Amino acid sequence: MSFGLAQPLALLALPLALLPLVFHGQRVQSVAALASLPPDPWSTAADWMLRGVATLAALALVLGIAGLYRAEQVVERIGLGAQVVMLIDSSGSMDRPYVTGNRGTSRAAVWGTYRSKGQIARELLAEYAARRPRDMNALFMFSSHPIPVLPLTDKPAAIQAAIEAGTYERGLASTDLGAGLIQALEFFKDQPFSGSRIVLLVSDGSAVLTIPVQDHIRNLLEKYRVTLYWLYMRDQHSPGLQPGRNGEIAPEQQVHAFFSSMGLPYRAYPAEDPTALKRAIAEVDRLQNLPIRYSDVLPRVDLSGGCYLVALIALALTLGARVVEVEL
Amino acid sequence: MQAQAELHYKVRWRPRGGHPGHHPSTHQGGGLEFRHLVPLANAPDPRRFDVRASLRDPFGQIQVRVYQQTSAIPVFALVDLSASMRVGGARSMLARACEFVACLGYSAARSGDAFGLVACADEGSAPLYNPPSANPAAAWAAAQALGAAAPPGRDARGLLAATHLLGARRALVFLLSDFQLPLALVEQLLAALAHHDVVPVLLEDGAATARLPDWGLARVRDSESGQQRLILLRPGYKRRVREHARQRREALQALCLRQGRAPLVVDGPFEADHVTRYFLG
Repeated sequence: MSFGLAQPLALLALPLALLPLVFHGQRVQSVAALASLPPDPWSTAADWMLRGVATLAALALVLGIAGLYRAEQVVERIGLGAQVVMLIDSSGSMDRPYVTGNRGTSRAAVWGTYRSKGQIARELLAEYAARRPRDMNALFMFSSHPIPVLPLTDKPAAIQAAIEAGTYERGLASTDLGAGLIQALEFFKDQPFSGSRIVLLVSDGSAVLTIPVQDHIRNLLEKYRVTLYWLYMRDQHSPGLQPGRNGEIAPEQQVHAFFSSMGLPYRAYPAEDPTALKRAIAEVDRLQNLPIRYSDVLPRVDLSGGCYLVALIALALTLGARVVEVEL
Repeated sequence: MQAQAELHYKVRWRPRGGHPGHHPSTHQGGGLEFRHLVPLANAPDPRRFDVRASLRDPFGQIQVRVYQQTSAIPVFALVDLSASMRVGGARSMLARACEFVACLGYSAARSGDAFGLVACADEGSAPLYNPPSANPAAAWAAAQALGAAAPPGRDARGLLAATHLLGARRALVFLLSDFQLPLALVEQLLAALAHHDVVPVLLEDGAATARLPDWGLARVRDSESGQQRLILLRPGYKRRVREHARQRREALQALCLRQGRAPLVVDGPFEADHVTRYFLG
């Protein structure tokens, strides 16, 4: 633990703290002879205690002015649960109306009059994160390029804020699911394997994965031993993940087919199913809750307030000593 | 103006001086106290002719009575001028000593005794000295001079050196002090004054310790050494202060008794009758 000062120049005033050792600031009364007052250890102790308190007040004031802080520090923590990378699709297709709950709201899809897939996705994610507070979560967004939003952390407030941050504006036009997935998987590179790794993809899957990208994804999933969950956001006009009767193929069906065919741990949860989230959580619960060792950065803490509090108490004590002075 | 109170004193020893006064002396002369008979040739004062003694005398010599006269004695006030005497302003021990000196000087003049004043503090400082005089105005002046005496001294060691100012004749010496001195110094002082009849006048304020508050903080400074100390007042400590004062007073009393006289304690305002009771009561 290390400490620092915001205004080190204020330490020039530090010798002032020695003043109470020389001057007592009390009213002095003459007595005929000090010998008539027998020596008293309690009085001596009170004297030095008062001087000490006054010195402490000066010290605390100077440190408060100097802006004492505890420097940011890296601590090693042990968490429990899974390491989850949330990969949120923020492409334009996610701004389209969700499959349920939007009937009769608007004939044309006008932004703001309906509940989009992105908004629903973030609500689900927020709920998911709130239910599993001991997991470590990271957050990535992708449309054309993946954007790392939040590194792995177990601070619920940070996770909720990161999820919340994406709900305000509309997404970009293009979708590069492959790049996003690869980026999210590469996040596990050089990280010790100390718990179950999950990539939670939240997307409508309206993207095309080329063969090289598919290979790359499969390799990385295997290499880093990552389980892939797909929280599928179904569009109002989408046929769903299962192929329709007339054999038409939607992009998400292709993606689903690829993920299913990898022979690696993968599960898709259609979000319109009210039990989907519960099942996803149960699934993660089922995976072992291994302890996760990770290093965490504690932010710098400003201690000047505490200094002023100490100074206030010490000054109140010295003032009290002044008040209880009596005339002999 | 208030009439000056008067105090009365007597001594248990016989002074030798021929100067007439109020105290029975060893000097023979015109007194009322019969001493012995002598032949007229030895004391040629036919007024004292004793008829019966002359008739009884086998040799037929004329016998004359000899009387002892009453003589005056020198009276001194030896005043401690150390700083502790000045603490308290108008209620200080020095103010009380001034009253005492004024009254004593007046009374001494009324008794026909010469009154002198020696006041001293530090060893190096010049003592305030008014030589003995039977003039009542001189006594008044002495009290005034005492009130306006030089700056306070750090201690009272000068008293020791000033004892020679009292002269060779045995005198009644009132040693006025608060006796906040080392007991060794008091003992030395009394030994140096052994030639005289010393009345230690202990000026004190016995109510001062009772007036102490039960609880509180006070930073006190010794009036002489300037040393400072913080006092944490509490009932237990107050008891200790009182006990300490009592012990010190007892020690002082014992010391003074060893040197001849119990101290005359002037506690509170000075009263002339109190002094009279000390001598005659």
